[in-house]
Amino acid sequence: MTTPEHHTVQAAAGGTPDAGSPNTGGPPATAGAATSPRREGVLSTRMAFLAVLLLLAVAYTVMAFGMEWRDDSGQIGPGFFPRMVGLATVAGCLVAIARTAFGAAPGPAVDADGEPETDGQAAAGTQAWATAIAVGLMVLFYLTFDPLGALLSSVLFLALMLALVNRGRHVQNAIVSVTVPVGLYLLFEVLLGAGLPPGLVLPL
Amino acid sequence: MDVFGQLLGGIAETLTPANLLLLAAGVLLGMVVGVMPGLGPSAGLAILLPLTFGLDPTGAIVMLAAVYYGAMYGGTITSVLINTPGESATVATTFDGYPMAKQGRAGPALVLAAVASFVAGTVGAILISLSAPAVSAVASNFGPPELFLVVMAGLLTLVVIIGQNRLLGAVSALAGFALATVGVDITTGTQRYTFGAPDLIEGIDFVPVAIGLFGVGEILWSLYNGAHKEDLGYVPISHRSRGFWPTRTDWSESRGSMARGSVLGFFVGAIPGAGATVASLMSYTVEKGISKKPQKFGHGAVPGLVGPEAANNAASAGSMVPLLTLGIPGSGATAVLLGGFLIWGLTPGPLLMEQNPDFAWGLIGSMYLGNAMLLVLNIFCVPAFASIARVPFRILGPIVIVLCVVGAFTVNGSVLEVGIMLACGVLGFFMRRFGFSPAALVIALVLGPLAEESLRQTMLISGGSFDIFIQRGASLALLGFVVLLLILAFVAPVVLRAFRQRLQARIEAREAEAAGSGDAGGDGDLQGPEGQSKGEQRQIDV
Repeated sequence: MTTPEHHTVQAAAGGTPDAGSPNTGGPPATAGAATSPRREGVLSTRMAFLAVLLLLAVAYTVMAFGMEWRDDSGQIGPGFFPRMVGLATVAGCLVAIARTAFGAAPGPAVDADGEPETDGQAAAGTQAWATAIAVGLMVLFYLTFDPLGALLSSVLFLALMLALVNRGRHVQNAIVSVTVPVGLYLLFEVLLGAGLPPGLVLPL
Repeated sequence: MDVFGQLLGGIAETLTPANLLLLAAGVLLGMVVGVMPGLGPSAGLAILLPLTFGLDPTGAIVMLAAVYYGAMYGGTITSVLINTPGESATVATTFDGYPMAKQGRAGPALVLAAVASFVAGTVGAILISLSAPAVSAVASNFGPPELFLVVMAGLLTLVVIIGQNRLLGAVSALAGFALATVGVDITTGTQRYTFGAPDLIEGIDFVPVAIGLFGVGEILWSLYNGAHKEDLGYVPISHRSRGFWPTRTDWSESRGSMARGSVLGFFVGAIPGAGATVASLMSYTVEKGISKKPQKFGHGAVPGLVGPEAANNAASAGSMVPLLTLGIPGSGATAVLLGGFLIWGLTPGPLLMEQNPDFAWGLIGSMYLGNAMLLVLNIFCVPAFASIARVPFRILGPIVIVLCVVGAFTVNGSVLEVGIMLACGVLGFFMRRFGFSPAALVIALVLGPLAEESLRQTMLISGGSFDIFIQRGASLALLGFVVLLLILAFVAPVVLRAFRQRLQARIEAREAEAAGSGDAGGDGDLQGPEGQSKGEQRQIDV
């Protein structure tokens, strides 16, 4: 019987987690994990994300300094709050970058409520290409939403997404690609009167 | 008592055919969303919020609250039947719920979970009825300095409890504040960060951000982790199965756990940031710690299922206390609820119970009725909802994205907001990937205008001096609390580690005693049930 000091979620068999344990103490060390190629990959993408975040924070702060922080009567101006937020964000990003650069373990993935992911999924990371393609399809969906209309663009998006993730089941994909957008159209447009874009193709 | 008179009035307010229908619809929709792995109350509320725009404020909020409860129970179904928690608050349910299902006791597990949810939700509603007026009475004396400190304290509490992601949680909250500054500054009329886009003049609406972060972000994260490649083992269930209903022993074993989980869950849930996950895991640890047969935990122990289930539902009710009385959401789900309140012109906070008592008590009253409806629907419709859990992610995921896009568009009829929603979906994916907190961002986005406005008013009152925070008694107390939180951020990990060690030692001592006395049983530590799907080990941090 093992007696762990704390209980950490581990990935599927064969993998050591690349995320630290979701505890409230410091990040635990996972033996040998600091030098594994996957951990180095995680660290480099994390650094890239933090670098982008820092750039955005710097840009935000520079623009904040271009606004008045105090008006002529001495009251707080439009630039006061953004300056505080911007400077704090820049500082936070710099500290996070320093921690990442000097070997602190990355924190665990978190769910929507900011609580640590505890279903063992944090370490897979093998579907990066599928995810990237999905993002590309989402961009296409956004670009076609107005010109093609909500209905057609939804059909197109679903058909392509299902071809990506539900391969080989062509009949199933075709049925879902048509029935779901039609169902949503009936719900939002006909029943709720949402005013979805009709597009330039279909006579809606 | 006046409280109970107002409560009865609130229940009567909800007992209209239209509101009952909305309650039922909300519970059903919430359970449908909750049954989808990965999508919990936050995503469910964000995605379904646009559906309520055509309703009156009371009906809309009643429906959203019902979605909240329904989604919590939906996550339980997947935890028990396919060992896949619907969201993090139902992870503890897998420890003993799935083993029960594997032993052919899925029916009793789900019925017990439904009853535990009902009991906990009802206890929670009673505790809200008692505590909300008291907290409101204290908070009604708050002025702008106190309101500003309450917002800061609420966010700090969330960030502190996040644990080792405190820094990233704080950065997430700051990002939310930054997004909240986009638009026209109300006081001076200056445009901030609009870049000339007319759609941004009124600021960034929180609904597309919430839908993106919680909905699309979760789908992308699940896709990244290969959810579309999984074929989950499914334990079938039917009312006609033998042993669908719990036995007398099951009921007697679960009584104490339900009561303990309900009270523990409510008070933990009332702490912003603590949430249902912390509540359910704490309850599991407590139940195992005080059990005379700890070795049964992880192998289908009824208290191990019932305690966490009660705790996570009571926490949902508890989280309504700071939301209604202080206007401080403690989680992503309550942040979406707060956003919904604001959309319909209702301002939760100290004055809500004074200025809108009908709405406040109507909402609390609807919680009682919603719990009853949840119990009936849970027990009799579980096989139907269980069948939804069989629809694989590779089909549900793309459908949810389409639903998110359409929902985001309906908020203001703006294609730009669809783009913001999708961008936030990508952001939400990266936030999950690198340990940031989508909940903190959304909460800060919703509270940002209040924080800035109250700070402005404070500076106006004080003539630009920050001394006002220490000159007023209430704000000095709140400032002390904020400082305490900051100290806690560094001290808490040490204290919690010591607590865990002590509790673990106690558990081991009991197990050794039980093994020495010859009780049957296997490995009873906190490693969770055997036979985890795909050889996963499940060890949960408490």
